[in-house]
Amino acid sequence: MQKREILDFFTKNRSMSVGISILLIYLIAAIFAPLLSPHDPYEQNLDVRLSGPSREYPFGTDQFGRCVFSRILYGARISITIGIAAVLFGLIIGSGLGIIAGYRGGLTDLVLMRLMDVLMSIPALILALAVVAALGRSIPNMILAIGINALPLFARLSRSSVLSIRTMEYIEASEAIGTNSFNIIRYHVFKNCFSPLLIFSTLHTASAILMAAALSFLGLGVPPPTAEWGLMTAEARVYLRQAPYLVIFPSMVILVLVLGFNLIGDRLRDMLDPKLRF
Amino acid sequence: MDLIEMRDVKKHFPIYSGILPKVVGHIKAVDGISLSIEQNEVLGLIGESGCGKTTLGKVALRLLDPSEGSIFFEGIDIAKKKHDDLLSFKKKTQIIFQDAHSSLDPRSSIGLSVEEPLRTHKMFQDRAKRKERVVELLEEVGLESEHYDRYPHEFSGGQKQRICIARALALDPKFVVADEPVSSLDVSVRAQILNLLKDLQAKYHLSILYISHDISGVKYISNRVAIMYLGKIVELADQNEIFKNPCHPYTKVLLSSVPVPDPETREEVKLLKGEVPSPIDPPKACRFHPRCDCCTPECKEREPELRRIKKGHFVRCLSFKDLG
Repeated sequence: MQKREILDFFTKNRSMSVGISILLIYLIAAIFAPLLSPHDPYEQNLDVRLSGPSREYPFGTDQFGRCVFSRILYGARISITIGIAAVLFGLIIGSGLGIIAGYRGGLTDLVLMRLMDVLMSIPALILALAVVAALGRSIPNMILAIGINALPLFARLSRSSVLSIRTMEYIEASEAIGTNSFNIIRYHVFKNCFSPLLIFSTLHTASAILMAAALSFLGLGVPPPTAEWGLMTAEARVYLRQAPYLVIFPSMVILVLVLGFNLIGDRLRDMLDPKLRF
Repeated sequence: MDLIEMRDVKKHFPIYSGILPKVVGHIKAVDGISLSIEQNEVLGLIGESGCGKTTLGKVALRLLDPSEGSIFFEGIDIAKKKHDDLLSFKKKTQIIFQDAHSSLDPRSSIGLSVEEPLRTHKMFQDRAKRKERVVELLEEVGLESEHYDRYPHEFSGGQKQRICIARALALDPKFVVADEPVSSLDVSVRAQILNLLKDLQAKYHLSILYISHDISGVKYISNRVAIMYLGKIVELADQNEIFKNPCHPYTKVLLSSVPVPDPETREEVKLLKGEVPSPIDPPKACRFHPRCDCCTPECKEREPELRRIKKGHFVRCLSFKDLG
């Protein structure tokens, strides 16, 4: 029964299946990068620098003669890690703050949400630049920089769902039973505001990956020679005329991954909304 | 002995207005109510919408904090206790809401919902025993053990109310506030739920504050009846007495509105003039005087007390004598 339902689900949800397939391919690429890549991503081979796609080098080679295909495979590890970690950071801390603000109300709500407004008032990329510039270029700092940007979004979203859940009678029933606030949040509030958060997380992972690429492109992401998509695009910019594939392939890879996350997120929204449930 | 006794309980909700919120008035939802409920007694509380009966029920359980007055439960004043110290009180009291659907968490299974009181009060720590107890409760209210893993949307309104009753009974409470428990149900289901409540009340010797505007339901289940108007009790008497001999003009009008299932006895239905006044600024003196048929000049000047006119029969009306 259960198995059938899952199978049914995928045949009925094309966009979801496409999204999940894309994500799976990327995950496999990231996990098995050492097995799948034809070359060492950091090995320079100056004899074949800036050569176009060939059998030996499927996506060509860059200005140092490194295999672009291998670098893209390894880059998936970094991009996916940053995307997911930054969103998890935002999800856990941001929605935690939002739930507390929404549930407690009053002064707590006021202080927390004004803090979030301050974060929100700074343009995302500038805030991320500031964080990376202050803390230095490294992967954890990038995660932090992108995660901080996600904080107010998650906080606002969870707060608004908590506000509507708060007034439900089942919360009052729990209060009448004597359940303490922590357990009410754990058993009732969290469960009921989880689906919008989940949808937003998948959609936001795409933006997080884009932002990571943008940061690297601007030279404030991971330091070279790390294989990272944004950084690869940035470095290849100079050779756009001689070797356009150096920009095209990493950009395509980013585009497809973002598309995959968006497909999943969009469909999840429809599925988890009880009014639209099939 | 009285199980719960409220003395001069008031609940005023402040009204804020302006850019910098400032209190501009109060909604006097409950304005000086003294009531007591004995062990094993069902007190029916009747009133129009907006007269403050639900607020009173919530204040009695400290779901809302009273603005003034004291509430004695088993001889201890719980009106001003901190919420953390109320755990033992909450264990002995429960509430059943009008809307069973929204009082069950849509994402918790029935078992989980009914189990919550046991978990909160750390009873039946053993999982298997806890489940056994939940199934026992479900069977008690006329459901089956296979309902344990289902979710609220799979049940009908009456069944959902049964689940709420099971949850309310989980801790063997002494005092239950039933806030219009059958108002949202079909008439056919209404009787079943009322019967269930009555049976369980007798079985567990519960004290119930039965809040409703459905007079026949109250008549069926209550031992004593209180009539509420604009935040105050206007009449209080035993069930037989109040239906046979209503004394307050408001009670008379209310009771005459109940349809009689006999076309021969056609009583004239009295209609009230006007609307319920706003509880923000209730009429001075007797609160009922603008709508009352037998209003005297005195009624507009002096506020009546809740007077005892017979053993156990209290009325808040100045012109009652004259009515004979």
